[in-house]
Amino acid sequence: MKPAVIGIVVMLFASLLYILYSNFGPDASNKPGIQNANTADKQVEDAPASFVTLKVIMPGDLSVRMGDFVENELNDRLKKDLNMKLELTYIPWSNYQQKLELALSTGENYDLFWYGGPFVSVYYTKGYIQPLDELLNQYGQDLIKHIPDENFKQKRIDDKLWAIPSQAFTSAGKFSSVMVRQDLLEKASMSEIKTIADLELFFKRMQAIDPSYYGYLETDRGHEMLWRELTDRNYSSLDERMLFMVDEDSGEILSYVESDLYKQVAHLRESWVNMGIIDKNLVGNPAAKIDQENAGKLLFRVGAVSRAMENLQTARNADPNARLREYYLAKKKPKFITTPSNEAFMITAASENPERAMMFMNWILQNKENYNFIIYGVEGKDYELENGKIKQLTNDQLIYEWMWRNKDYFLAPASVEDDIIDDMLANDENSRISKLFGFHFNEASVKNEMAQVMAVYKEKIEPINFGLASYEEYYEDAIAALKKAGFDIVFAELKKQFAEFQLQH
Amino acid sequence: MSRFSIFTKLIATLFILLIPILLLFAVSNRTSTRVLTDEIIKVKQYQIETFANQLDELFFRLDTYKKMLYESTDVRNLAYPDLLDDVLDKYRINRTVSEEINRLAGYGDWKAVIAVLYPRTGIVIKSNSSLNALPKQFPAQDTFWQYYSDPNEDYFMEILSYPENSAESGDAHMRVLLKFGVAALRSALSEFKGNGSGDPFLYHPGADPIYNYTVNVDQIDEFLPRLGEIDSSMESGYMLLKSDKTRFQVHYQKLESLGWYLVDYVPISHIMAPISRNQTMFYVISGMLLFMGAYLAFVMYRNIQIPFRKLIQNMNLIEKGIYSVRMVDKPKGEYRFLYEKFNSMAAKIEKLIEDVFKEQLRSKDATLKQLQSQINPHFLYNTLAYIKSMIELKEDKAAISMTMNLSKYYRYTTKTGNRMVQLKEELDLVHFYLEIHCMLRDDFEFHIEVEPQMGDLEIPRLIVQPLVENVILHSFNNHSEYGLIRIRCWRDGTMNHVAVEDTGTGIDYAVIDSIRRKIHSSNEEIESGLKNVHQRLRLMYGGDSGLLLSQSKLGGLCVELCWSGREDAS
Repeated sequence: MKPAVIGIVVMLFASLLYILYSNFGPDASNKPGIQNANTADKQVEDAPASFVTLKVIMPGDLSVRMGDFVENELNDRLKKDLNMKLELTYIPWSNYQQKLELALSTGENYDLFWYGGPFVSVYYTKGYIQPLDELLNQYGQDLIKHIPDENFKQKRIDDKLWAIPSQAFTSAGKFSSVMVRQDLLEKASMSEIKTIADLELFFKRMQAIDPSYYGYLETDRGHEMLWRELTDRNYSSLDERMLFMVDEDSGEILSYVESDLYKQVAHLRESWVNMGIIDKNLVGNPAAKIDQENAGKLLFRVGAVSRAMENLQTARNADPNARLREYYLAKKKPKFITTPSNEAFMITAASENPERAMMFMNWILQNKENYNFIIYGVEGKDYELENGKIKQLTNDQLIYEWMWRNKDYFLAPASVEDDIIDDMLANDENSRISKLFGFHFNEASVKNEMAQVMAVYKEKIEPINFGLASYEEYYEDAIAALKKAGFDIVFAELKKQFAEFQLQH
Repeated sequence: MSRFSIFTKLIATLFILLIPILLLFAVSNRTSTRVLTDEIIKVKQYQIETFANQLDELFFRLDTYKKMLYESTDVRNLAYPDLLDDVLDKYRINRTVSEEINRLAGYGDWKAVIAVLYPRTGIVIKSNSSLNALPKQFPAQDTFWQYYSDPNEDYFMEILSYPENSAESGDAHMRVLLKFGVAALRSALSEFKGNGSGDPFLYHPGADPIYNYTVNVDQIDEFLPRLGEIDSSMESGYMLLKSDKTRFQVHYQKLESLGWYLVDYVPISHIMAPISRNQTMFYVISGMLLFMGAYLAFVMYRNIQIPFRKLIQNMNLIEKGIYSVRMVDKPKGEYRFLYEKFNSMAAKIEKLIEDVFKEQLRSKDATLKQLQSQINPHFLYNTLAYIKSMIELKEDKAAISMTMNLSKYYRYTTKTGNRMVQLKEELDLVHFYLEIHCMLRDDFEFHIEVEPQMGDLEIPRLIVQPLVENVILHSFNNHSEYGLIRIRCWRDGTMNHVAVEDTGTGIDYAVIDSIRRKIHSSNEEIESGLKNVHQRLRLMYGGDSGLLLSQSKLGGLCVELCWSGREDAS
């Protein structure tokens, strides 16, 4: 055959092969790999071989930008860096605990979730979560680097780590301060809050100016804020259920609801209801209370070290001149660090990809770029940097900043005044480590009593807490019901466990 | 045979083979495409129908919540706070309603904002505390999943007021409101998209479509004008649209609850791409086959048909007696071999024919010469004179002997019919010839020695006689001694030998050599009896036959005939 003919035949054959195989190649490579959790022997730095969907539960509502951000930019990055994608399930704040626990108890295949520090021991007891020591050592070197050791200690139970204390920031005296609308305070010719009387005066003056202002958001918590002034002793609450407290000086565990302090708080709350600081029409309607804050009608509420910064945007949406500031009553009294990081990320026991969950968390703190990306989004599109401060271009929140706030990466919002930032950064001065630090109440042995106690608490004690039910009139009945439900058994168990804890430390 | 017969036949065969296959393929391809298209339509319609039903179910379920709240005594009681004088009662009902709303809002994967509004007290109980959870203004009328546009997020909302029909007059005591954000729908669409192919979106004439998160907006924008053609009475269906060379099946299904259409499209061209690729491939292969077939036919035509035709032409020429034709332009391969064989065959035939022709000529020549020698008047005179003398001398016996010899000699020489004779017959002739000369001259004698088996050997006529004649003429003329002629015939292997020797005048090598050269010369001008003999032997028996000259042991010349006896053996 002539070379030309051979050439033609070869060309035809080559084109045939091209037609055959050209369309298959890229398709095949685009297909996501089989989900497989066997990545233990892989290097952290390298993107793992199998493509995985990490299912994460988040509180609140998915913002429009977040939905878009996760689907596009974030998952593209995660695919590149970790060969995984994120699937976020948002549970609204109002029934977060209920829905979260439902999901955990039914063993739905979520991998990672957030909740407050006190719940770590609860979920440990219930077997919802898995220990993280090995995963942390293997995949979490950046977490270890950027989160102080004490924060981890606090999430340890039975010598094992059960949660990642995602926030690493100042925390002393959390929930024992009061956050006020500073601009309104100044409008009421006041400069700062030092006492309960100041708060009442502030309310009265504002009422005189505009009666639509509302006093006080929290009706369930906020006792500790008042304790600072109402007693000379230093007390810290065991948890947010407000049943027990510890005397920081003597190290004794006490029953709060039976204390004289409780009586004082109840009386004060009752007087606030009568004054109108607490709006009795709103008490049972949490969403409406938040509406008041959103509408800029809230004068003060419990602070949380950084709440003045966090809530500023919301306040400014309603009133462009709004300013917020946190104050401690009885300023001289020491602050106590009970929970250096109240935020806890836990990996579910049912997780199919615990390694990826740890890798994902590590990725967030790996460097400033990742940190800014997942919290603030795309520079130029979602945020801009102004003199080292962050200016967000959208009101939609991505991953909540407070969840992963870290002293190494912290960026102050451009809109927040420097004094607020200074307050925050200097918050842990004059602080002491609480006697409760590192203690977890294991309720397993008294869980039935605890359930009954909480039911009675909700029905009988809460209305007294809120100041709706008169202490004088309802307390005896309420405390009797509480004891009938097994309060003493719970208290005895708590005292026993706490004594054991104190012996060990 | 027409010029292109094999070529055209091959091409025709190829077409006859390929065309039914092509037809069959085309038909089966069309069938499979149709079946597949139908199947895709069914699957896609089922998919979007299922998803539309899910969405409908969701909205109807939410509607059920609305009715549950609407019917709830607690919810209604809160509309009349004055009737509840107890603060604790009011708190508990507030809490119950709030919890109830949250519980309802928490069910299912797709979240709606559920709220109860009490216009008279301004109190709102809702499931979501976000800033933009509820719109700033509420429509005065009751609605059923009405679409609203909002800068924050578009949403669907339905409102039911209590007491009934109180909304128009503006004095509703309580309104139950459900709001479903577009974001949740977009998530749902994205999830649906994630589970299957397509790019679903919600469409309503006159409103912005609700897309999934990873939508191909440009593509859908192309469809939108055409979607206006959907008959509003149609619940579901599909249309075929084309853009950028890609054909799309656009399916739609009306959501009963919203009145919107769930639209999804399938790039049918893309799905069919492997099939059309196979099709293209098949046609390419067919084309290649056709091309290769045509090429093969051409190659066959050029390499077989043309040489074959040339061969036949030359065969015809050979048949007509033109033996000089030869094959030229030898092709490569088997035909070259055939051509060479043809050429050597033609050459052989030509040579054979030439040889036979020449032998005949020379044989005639020899006969002519012999006849000439016979009618040599000198020879005849001598013999007749001898006979007369003998008769006068009363030597009857010698006269009779001479007469007998002469008569036998002439009888033999006149038998010219056969070209070939037996050796013994030729030797008889020689015998008679020599006997005559012996009698005439009386100065020599002769011996003839023949190996017995050689007597019947066929040899050309008059092949030995010229040698003897040569001896008589040249060897004894100027010789005074008594001479001897010896004739020996023997066989040595396959070669036959006949040697004629004499005792005549010694002859030196130079003379022998000059005679030998004369004999072997191919110059036709030189004529001699020996040369004639030599050439006749070679023509008949091949290259290793011929005449050998040497000095005889007897003293004179030895002339030896050699020829291969193979022909005789066979």
